[in-house]
Amino acid sequence: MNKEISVVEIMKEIENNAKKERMLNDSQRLNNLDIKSLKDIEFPELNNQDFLISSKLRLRKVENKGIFTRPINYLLRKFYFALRYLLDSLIVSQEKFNIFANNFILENEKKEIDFDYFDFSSEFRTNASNNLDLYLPFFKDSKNALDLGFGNGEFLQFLKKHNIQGQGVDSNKDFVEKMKGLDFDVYEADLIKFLEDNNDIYDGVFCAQVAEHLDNFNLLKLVSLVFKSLKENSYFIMETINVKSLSVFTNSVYKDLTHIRPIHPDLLRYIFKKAGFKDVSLIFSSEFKNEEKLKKVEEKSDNDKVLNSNLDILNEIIFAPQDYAVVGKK
Amino acid sequence: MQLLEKNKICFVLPWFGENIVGGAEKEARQLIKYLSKYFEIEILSTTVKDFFSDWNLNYYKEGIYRELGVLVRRFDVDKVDRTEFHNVNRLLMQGKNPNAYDEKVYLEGIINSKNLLNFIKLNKDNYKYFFFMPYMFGTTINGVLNVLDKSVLIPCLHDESYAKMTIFNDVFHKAFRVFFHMNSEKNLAEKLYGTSPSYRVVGEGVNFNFSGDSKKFYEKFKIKNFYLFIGRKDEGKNISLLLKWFRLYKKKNPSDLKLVLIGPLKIEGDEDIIDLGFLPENEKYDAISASLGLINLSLYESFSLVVLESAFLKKVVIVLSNCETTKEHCLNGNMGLYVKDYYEFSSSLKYLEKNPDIAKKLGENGYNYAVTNFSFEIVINKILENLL
Repeated sequence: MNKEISVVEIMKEIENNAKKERMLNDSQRLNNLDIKSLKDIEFPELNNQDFLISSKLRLRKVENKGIFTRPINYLLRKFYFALRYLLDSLIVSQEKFNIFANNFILENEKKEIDFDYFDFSSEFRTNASNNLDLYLPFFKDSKNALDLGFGNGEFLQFLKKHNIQGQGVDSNKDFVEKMKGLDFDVYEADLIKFLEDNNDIYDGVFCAQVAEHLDNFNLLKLVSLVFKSLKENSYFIMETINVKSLSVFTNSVYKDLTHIRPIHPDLLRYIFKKAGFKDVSLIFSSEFKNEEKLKKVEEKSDNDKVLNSNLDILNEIIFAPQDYAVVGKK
Repeated sequence: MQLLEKNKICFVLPWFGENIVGGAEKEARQLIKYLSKYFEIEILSTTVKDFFSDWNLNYYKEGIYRELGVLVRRFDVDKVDRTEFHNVNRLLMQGKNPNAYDEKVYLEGIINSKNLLNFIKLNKDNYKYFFFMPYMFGTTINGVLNVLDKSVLIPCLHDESYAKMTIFNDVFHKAFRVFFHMNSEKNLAEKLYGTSPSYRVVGEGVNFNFSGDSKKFYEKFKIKNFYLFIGRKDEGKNISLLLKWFRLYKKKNPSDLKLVLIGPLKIEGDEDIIDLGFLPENEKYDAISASLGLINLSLYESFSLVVLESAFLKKVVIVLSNCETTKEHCLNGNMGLYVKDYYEFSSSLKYLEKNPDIAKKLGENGYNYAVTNFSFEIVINKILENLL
């Protein structure tokens, strides 16, 4: 056998060249879109995408009037391809991240590496809920509320401010120490284990920015354990990242090393219903400011109106509220 | 080898004859020829003519024959109603995973001979080894399970429904030796039945007694600068994929490069793709010599003789990376390229065009690989070593 050349090495070069050719081909396909052929523009692929499944959210083409119709439709189509390209990469990154995160957690457990979540959280304020006022109505009559995974303790402090008695549980020692120092009634425990071992009944349970840290099994278990620990006619509120806002994928989802994966609001609502909760509803929060969204144009023509309505649609997809909470009543 | 000289071995085959077609049948004849230098050889077979004949018909009379210089004992075949067998077999051929019922029907219907089996039981002590091939027939299944520590199985195993039957777990584990042609075949057996100390990879012997003359080919066909495909032009050999990729390559990279096809079945050609139909062996070898290399995108190969023949004639090969067998040849021999999609296919052609020296070197590596691993002498030596 010849040692001078190696098929494996040659194949590496060939695979590399193939990759370049593949990418070049994809970009040429985008650039070579023929305006003339877009006379009867259709977006069949677009309408098949799950994220745009609602008919309300379909990109509409500009009506066939005037000389700008074709270029505008052409730009829309290009915009769609660009968006899709972006989303594809996002999905791939998400998959890669999931694998990385799972491995990290497994490794972390195995090797007992101490990932300092307290320090990380104070740097990034990852588990802070910004929407506490929205939740007050559900706790206003509470005398014995529970905050699962209280983290920096915003909700416990918020309850105290409104003279509502509350307890907290968190698995992180540093968070517990901090809140104990401020004279709060808090426990250091694994959330699931705490609910399993504890027979107390609460008249309101709050759990913010925790769901995305749980695997499927523990998420289902947590919701059903809360149902058991809850007094009749009391509420359980679970707040988490809103996956229907695409911007969260460039922000909060990937900022936290301990996130397993975000959960779709429809799924969490379903889990609540299956656990036995009634009057299950959604509250969206952490909205983007108008200046952070895509800007509209001044409406001087019909086409401007179409353009603006399309911008509304895109704003709704990309810059939807960043958090949501599922509210369930026992 | 002296010790073995007086030993008698036998080959147990469902059918035997000089002109029977089929890979395993041809391999058996070659092995018998080469092994007869070291053993006294007998053939035990049925009275059926070949695979394609009626399995209930005694084509030969039961008795003793002398063919190809060896003693052949033919035994009456078991006559059974195969209506249900054919129903089950049709589904298995379509890729159905066999259940317990399918397996029962299969084992009742597959070619078998009680007389042959009785002979084996009574005369077990007269033979040093019993060679069985291929794996899927009743003569092999019952034979191996009856002679056990004297059984040598040459399975010719493929990734197919038959291989998934539970009986083969027993057959592969109870055989004294299982000889595979390639590592990929052994890997398949390990995947299906688990590992066994009896597994050995010995290769398959190829008769490298041919040569090719590129000038003769050019004089006759006037074709230059081409890659070659050899084989049946059907989906089993992935021919449409090859045509599609090659046409696309030509469209994107205009040149006088051509693809020449040789083998049964006819394909509508064009100025880039030339179908020469079926050629005699010597012209086939001339074509290989005249070509830039061989392209074989077939997915199912248990050995791939054409790849080794091309390697022997010092030609680079391009194969599909999903085909473990041909890829194994490329890697072990450091002799060819394996591609998974059009872009790798196109990059490979460009690479070989740009680096003719490397293409030549790969061809030379192929020659060394073929000769040092698949010459009959080498394979027979491996078999003998693994029997002692």
